[in-house]
Amino acid sequence: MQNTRDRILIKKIQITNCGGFIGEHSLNLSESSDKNFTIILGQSGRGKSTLFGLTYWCLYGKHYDKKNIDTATDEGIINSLQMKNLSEGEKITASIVLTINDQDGEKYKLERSITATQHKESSQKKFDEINNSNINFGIQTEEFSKMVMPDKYGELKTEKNESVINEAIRQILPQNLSSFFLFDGEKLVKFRTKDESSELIKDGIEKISGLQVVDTLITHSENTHKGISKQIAGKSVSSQGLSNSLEALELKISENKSEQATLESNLRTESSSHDEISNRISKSSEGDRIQKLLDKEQKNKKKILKDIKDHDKKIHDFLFDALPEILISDTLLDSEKSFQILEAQNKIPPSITREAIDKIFQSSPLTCVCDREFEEHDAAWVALENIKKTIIDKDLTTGITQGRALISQIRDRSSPDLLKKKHSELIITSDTLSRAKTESVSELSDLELELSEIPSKGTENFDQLAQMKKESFRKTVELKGQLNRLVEELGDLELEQKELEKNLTIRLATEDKFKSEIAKINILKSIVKYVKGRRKLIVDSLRSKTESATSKYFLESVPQGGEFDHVTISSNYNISARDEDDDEKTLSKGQSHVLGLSYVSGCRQITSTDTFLFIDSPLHNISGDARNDVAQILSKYLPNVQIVLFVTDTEYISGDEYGAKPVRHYINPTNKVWKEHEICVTCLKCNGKILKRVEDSTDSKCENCGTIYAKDDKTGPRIIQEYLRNV
Amino acid sequence: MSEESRIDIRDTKRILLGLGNAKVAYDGTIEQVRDYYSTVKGATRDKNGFFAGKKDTDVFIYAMCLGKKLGETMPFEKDPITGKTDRRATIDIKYFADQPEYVWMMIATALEDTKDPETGNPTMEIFENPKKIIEICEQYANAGIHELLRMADDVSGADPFKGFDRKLAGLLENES
Repeated sequence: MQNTRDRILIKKIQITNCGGFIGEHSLNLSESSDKNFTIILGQSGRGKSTLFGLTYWCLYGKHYDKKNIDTATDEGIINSLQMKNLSEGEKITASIVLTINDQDGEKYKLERSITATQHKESSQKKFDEINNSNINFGIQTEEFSKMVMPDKYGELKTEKNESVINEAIRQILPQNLSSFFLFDGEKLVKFRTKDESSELIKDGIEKISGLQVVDTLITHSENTHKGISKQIAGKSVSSQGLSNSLEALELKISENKSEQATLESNLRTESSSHDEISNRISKSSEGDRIQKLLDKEQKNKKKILKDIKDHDKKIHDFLFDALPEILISDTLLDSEKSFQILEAQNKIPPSITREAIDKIFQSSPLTCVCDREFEEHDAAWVALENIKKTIIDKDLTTGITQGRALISQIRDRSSPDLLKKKHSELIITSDTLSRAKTESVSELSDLELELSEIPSKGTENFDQLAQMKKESFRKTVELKGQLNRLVEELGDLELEQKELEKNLTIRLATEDKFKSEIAKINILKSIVKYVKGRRKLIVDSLRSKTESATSKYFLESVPQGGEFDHVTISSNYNISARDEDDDEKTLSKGQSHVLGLSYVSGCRQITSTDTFLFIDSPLHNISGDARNDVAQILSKYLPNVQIVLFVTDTEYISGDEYGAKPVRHYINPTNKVWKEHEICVTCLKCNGKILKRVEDSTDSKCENCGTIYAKDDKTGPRIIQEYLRNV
Repeated sequence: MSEESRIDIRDTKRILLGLGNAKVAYDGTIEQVRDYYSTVKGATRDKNGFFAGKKDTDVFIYAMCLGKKLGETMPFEKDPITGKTDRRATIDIKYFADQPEYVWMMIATALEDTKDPETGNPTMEIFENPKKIIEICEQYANAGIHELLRMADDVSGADPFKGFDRKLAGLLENES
């Protein structure tokens, strides 16, 4: 399967005078399917992320981390030291060249460069968008792009037109999907909270689907529709009021939606905090045992509450149906008697139709419904003839006949004994459920008490954690309540809006002069309805595909995978790992990161190409066991895909004090690493001498002159070399 | 109301034809009445009340049944300032068509109310002048709505419909 997919990879990166690098440096990356990993390691702040960002800039001509006048520093694309040393009339060029291969070999050689020219000396600085940094006021920058690419006959040519280059790149590496091949490891942290992960997932799915075009069409059609309505409502005196009300309503709807978004965000944060506390509580075997009992009891309580809710609805339905019927029961009984009297007086027909009497007349021998035989023109015949004559209106007859039958039905089912029996059955069930709830609540508080008494090594004891959990739960419930109220309110507002729009259209349609505008509005409405329907189908289908691909990767790679059965991505893009009962499981930090990586893999799976994957700092901000969990899955991650990991030396070659093993420990045995490159810094004083890290410190030392450099001290230029040390 | 009904609602619609485009009203002069009817409509809809998800026809029939049970009718009040009644005729009779039970509860109520005072026998008045049905039922509903408001106010923390439950229990106690 994997082999049938197209591959896109970067064969070589050449950088000249970029970032912390002076002169030309080149870096070959793995083209192999077996040894598909290339490692780029370096101490923090040595230029890994710069290299990652430069790759992005070369591909799209845009800065990965775009700065502005307030956020810019002196560090941009061009090596700042070299730019600083420019004399009047001098130039410096920084460039990056990417050699891009597909499955058939070299496809493009893409180069972007910036040339800075010092026109005059100045002590002032200005922000330069091209270099993405503050530069000397007297310097001017120019950007160039060129790409060696095949023309339509397959001949290689050098293209310098930027739009042609950009279009060619977009064809194979769409910029909106760049986060799926140039992946910032910091984003994995976002998978620890539902709030941030759902934003990422929504964004990802919508980007893959290309829905921006559809959304633009919907917005444009709706705005045009509103514009036309407003325009013609403005011309129609009689519709002005309606139009104003509609506008006020739209404002309310938009306020409601924005309030909902804030609440949803708060709710996700609170839910994550609740999960985090539960996670901390279950960090000991005793805590874990009680937590499991608690989870089970909570599930039981949830079921009881659902049963109570369903039963309350049953009681409500019973009350709703029974009350008016029993209230009116006497009247219905009296009316039955009244109908009989009217019938006896021949004022209304008996409960039979004229056709029924005709059937009696057609019987042979003539036989009445009471089995009594009679003859033509005898007393019974005459009586039947008279009755038939009274049936003056067939509709009324049928109506009254049916109505009397209905009255009789109501009377039957509202018999007090029957209702009393049903009522007492409902009360008994109600009591049983209420008792079950009390028992469950008591069991839960016993377990919570037990949990709170377990001694903890953390900063909070279990009692405090239990209080925090309780408080977090209370807040969650409160937020859910507020959100539900807003959702209901929105439903009403939207109903009202629909009604007003309908009335406005009806009112305007009565005025002949607006016929053509009304026709336009109707067409626009149909377009919006159709497109929204299609949009939903696309999103649902992609969500479901992403969900199943993410689930597959997650279950294959997550540590303690036996606890999980599947991953779901809800319609509001909440991602959760669940057990076989479809209950959401709380994830550890490491498991959350694995979920994030699985999601990235899942999204990549539903595109048609195996594009390279650069991951910057995959283990960012996690330590201990969680780091081990992620490191383990990285080693078996996405076979056949070119993977370039930008890792710190602590991530890659040494563990941490919390028990994390280095990534190398997991990756090396798999024999998948093609090459390890190291970004090194040199001594400012001794030209080209590489600094060595001081053991157990973030400092570096020049072994030639003995100078010690702290982490943030200025050093000499960076160089890239193959990592030679053995671990 | 009940799914057991086998009645063809087209027959009820035929009866309703006699009522034309008549609309059933409640008393708009009384604020609480007005407010209560508004709890089943539009933005003021009450999502948790006894009539949540129900319609104004339901409120009307409830009020009418209560009024009839109490044996009380009440004409619409006159506004103390304008001296006029405020007949809020907002419940279109056609909305009753889908609920034949309601129509026949109304017919039965009106039939009993139009008996010949001398003989005590039922008359055909309501079939000859179907609008009389609405007139009679409105007056019962106008009396019953106050009882309904009392029931709706009778709540307990655990049971928001205590008043309704109490009413049913009382009725069942007396009837059996």
